[in-house]
Amino acid sequence: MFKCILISVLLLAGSLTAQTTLKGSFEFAKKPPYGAVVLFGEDKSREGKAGSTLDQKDKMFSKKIIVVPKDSNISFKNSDMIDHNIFADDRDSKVKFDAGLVAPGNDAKQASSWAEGTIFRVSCKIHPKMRSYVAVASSAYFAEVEFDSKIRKASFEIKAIPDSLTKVNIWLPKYEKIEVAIKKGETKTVELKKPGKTTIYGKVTLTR
Amino acid sequence: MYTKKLGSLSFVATLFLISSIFALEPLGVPDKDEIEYPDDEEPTKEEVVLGKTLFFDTRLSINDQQSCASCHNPELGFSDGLEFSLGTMGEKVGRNTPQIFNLAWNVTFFWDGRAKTLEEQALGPIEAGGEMNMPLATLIPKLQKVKGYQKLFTAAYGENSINKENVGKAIAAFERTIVVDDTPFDRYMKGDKNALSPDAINGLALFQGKARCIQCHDGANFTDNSFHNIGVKGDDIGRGKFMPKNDKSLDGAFKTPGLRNILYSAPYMHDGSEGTLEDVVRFYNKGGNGNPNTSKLIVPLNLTEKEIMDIVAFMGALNQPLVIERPEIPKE
Repeated sequence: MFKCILISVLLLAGSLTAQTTLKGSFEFAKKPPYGAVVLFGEDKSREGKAGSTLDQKDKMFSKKIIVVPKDSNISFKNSDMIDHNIFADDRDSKVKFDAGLVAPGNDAKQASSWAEGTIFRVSCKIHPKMRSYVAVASSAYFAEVEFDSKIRKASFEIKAIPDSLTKVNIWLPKYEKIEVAIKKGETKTVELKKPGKTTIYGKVTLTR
Repeated sequence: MYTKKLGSLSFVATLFLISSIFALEPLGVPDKDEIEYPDDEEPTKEEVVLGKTLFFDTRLSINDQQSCASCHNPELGFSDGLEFSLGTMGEKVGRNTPQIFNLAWNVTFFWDGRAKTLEEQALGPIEAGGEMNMPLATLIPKLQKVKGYQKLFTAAYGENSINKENVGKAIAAFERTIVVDDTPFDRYMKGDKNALSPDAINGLALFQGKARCIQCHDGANFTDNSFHNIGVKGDDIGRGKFMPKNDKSLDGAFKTPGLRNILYSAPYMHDGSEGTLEDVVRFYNKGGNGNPNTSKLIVPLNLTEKEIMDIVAFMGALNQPLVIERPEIPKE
């Protein structure tokens, strides 16, 4: 009897806060960029909450793109066998810092006081081939999408999105930012462009 | 027979272990799909023609005496054969002229990596006092008066496009066409087992093994794009200048140069202190010259005379003579 009531309550709660899944796919005309972030930017529930960790191993970052909430922090962890010195000097976003030399097994934290929507590149002063992008976003509903330079397509999924969130934001480093309104049952396709360019570099298709 | 097989297996296993510990990129043929062009777009033919013309034009120096090609001379492996480069007024520049083959794949520029793009690098020596010594604020109106450049810039970038950004873009576009990807080593990697001599094949094994060259000269362009103090004596702190003040780890460290067409661009090292490739191998064989901040990667190698010459033979197989025809420089 108690079980029945509990299930009914849970079902009722579920119907009151209906949730959906967003599925999407990127397709590029040529070599894809490094990565993208797709998010429901209306939600900012992670602002000031737990930060993110970007690890380094085998002279590579663990992610090609990482989301960090605003007013939080990003930790640059060194799981490599050699020193690293992570820094940012991004002309587009004006983000500039030097996290200093980090020995194997240690980490360096950087406060994320940058504005919501900022995207910037991080690299290593010792190993300039290392590259990753940091996107400042406080939404709990996001996907970090990594692209393979040899594969022109990539797909992603964001689960358990409240129906109240209807606007999807798509951010790629050096690309025009996109905002698309999408409701349950809709499919939309948008083109990927760069600021000041007419070239269409690819498209992203969203289904909710 | 069994022992020999076991020996070669253990050699392969050792290489695998070295690669996995140090995350080395395998040697190979450069992949043009991996080139990162600005805005992901290959340059147009008109852009490359403009860039090549600028590269060879002495108008880019304050006294019309020096072009980019004066130091990066195609007949001298896009270098100048000098220990230290010379500026347009005859001044001695502080470092050796680096060659510029396969920069299309590079991610950091100048010996100390102070430029992040080829476009940024291209403008550096033009402006630098002691090099071409030409302020860009002076160069742009100078080029704008030349009818030939009005046509070339219009063809490449549209009307009224003579500006410093486009000068850098065009020179970089030309430099990205200077590609070495059909050397005897490349043909060997593609399956032509006769492309390398037995000495060079042994040199390749030493390069990846006992001689430890691959620790820094890895990947298709034989560079890790990183910085190392290899033990050259001197006061130049190189990359150290760009590190936090309390971090001395990269004092005296310089960017690992790529090795494609390296035979043509003697002398070697950031200070031009080694005259030949054989001298370079002998330098590493003794573990450098005793710079106090020498990298731990640099250790005495105990190479035999035959092994030294085999490594030189291998580096001799990394070359592909390129004929660069001179452009017509606009007279007015």
